[in-house]
Amino acid sequence: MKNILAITTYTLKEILRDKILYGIIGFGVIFLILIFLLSSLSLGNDIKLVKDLGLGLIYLFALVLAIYFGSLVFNREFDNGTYKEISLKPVPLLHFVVGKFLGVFLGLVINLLFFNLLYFLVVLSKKGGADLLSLFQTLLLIFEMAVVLSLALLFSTRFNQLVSIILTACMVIIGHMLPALREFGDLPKVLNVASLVLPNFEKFNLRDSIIFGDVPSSTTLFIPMIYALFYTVILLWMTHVSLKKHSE
Amino acid sequence: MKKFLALFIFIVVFGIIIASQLIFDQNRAKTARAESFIPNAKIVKLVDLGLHNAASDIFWTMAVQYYGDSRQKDYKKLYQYLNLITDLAPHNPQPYAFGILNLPDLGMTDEAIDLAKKGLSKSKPDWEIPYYLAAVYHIYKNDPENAHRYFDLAANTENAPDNIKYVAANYGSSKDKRAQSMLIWQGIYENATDLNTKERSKNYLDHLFILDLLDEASARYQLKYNKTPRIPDDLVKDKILRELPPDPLGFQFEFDPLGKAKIK
Repeated sequence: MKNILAITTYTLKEILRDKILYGIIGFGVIFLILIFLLSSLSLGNDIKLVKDLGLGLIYLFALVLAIYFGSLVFNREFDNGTYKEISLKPVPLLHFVVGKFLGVFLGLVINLLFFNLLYFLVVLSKKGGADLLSLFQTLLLIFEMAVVLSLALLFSTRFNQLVSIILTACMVIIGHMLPALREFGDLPKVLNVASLVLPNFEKFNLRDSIIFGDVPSSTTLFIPMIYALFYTVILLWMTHVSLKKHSE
Repeated sequence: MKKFLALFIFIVVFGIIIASQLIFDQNRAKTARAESFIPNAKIVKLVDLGLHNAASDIFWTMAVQYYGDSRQKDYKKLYQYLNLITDLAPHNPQPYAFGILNLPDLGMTDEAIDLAKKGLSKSKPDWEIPYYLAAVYHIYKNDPENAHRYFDLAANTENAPDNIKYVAANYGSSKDKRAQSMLIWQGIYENATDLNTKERSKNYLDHLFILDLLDEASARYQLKYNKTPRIPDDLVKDKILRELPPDPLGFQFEFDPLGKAKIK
């Protein structure tokens, strides 16, 4: 447990010190201001526009951060040669994987909360009131990012950072595409199986309903959470196995 | 010296950049924009990472820009835009209300009715959709039966304002179509939350008010001269009216053989 805590703290510090993070946050803030200005072009639909685009923006920036840092942490260890040093120490590999995951994950949660605070301020300044329902979306987003992050970690054990980023982004796109493909008619069997096996990110999407004041049911909330929890465990275990092979 | 020269070159180069941008913008303003491509909603849903509402909002701002662009020859794409927007975010009542109110004047009355019916089945309940649909049936389709039906639906929608309930309850009580139309536009004007709807309904109210004014002046003209005026200018020429108010909708008026004002 001490090992995990130490690795988590170290990774979190590393993430929070990264200059890229502040660049991404800076872009996020600029875009939120742009949304505030853009809303005046919406012909009386401004609060809805601020909420829709604001939540969308939080999602996109969280995604960028999860994919970027997820594909970075192991690759940085490999490139700096520190991974070899760590593998010589009496730290179980699983602790190393979990510690790295938790460190990046906590960094993401902190950023998400920061973006949410900004979002609240923008909505408040538009006289849209306190959008408390958006907290449900933030909760599910945290779980969704756990899956995205684990995917990026898994890919980064085998591929360099660029390839890991591309592969994770593709998985996210596919995870949103498969449910939307159903609108074109019945899916072929292969795609049906793929939609069950591959991560389905549409499960975590409450944006279209909470925007109209619908309070999500407990099933809508808990099933995606359990799904994310189990998916993350499986992916971290696969990451562990992959790293083990990498060490041999 | 070198610093001043560098600063001078910097200012000149930047000045050229700004000037070229201004020339480009001026030339672009003269020509109509290239035809905008409106994608299929299914395709957008496939690639928008589940952000259907945000995608719908982006197309909504594009539709608003398109509608406000005076360089457009016609606004045939407005319906396509609204269809796409409501396919992406079917629960949002505002685009439906906007379309029902604006499409008929662009020669798309049937499209407005289709959009309204889509809104009634898919949108969150909102009195504006059935109310505007009833107004379309009354004003553009001359169909009091359907108008009555949708006024009734609007009045029974949750959160319908009291004056809307009043319009619905009194619809059909007056034989005068213009009086009914005035009441309907009054309801829209009093409950409008956006500037476009407010301005549009005000223009219609002023337009109907001018028709009433001309009718009244025509009656006085007939009493005085024992004949009907031919054109509104007769009323000014023969000192019944001091001047003719301009029609906010840009129509010209004339009188029928009975002396009733109508659009030329």
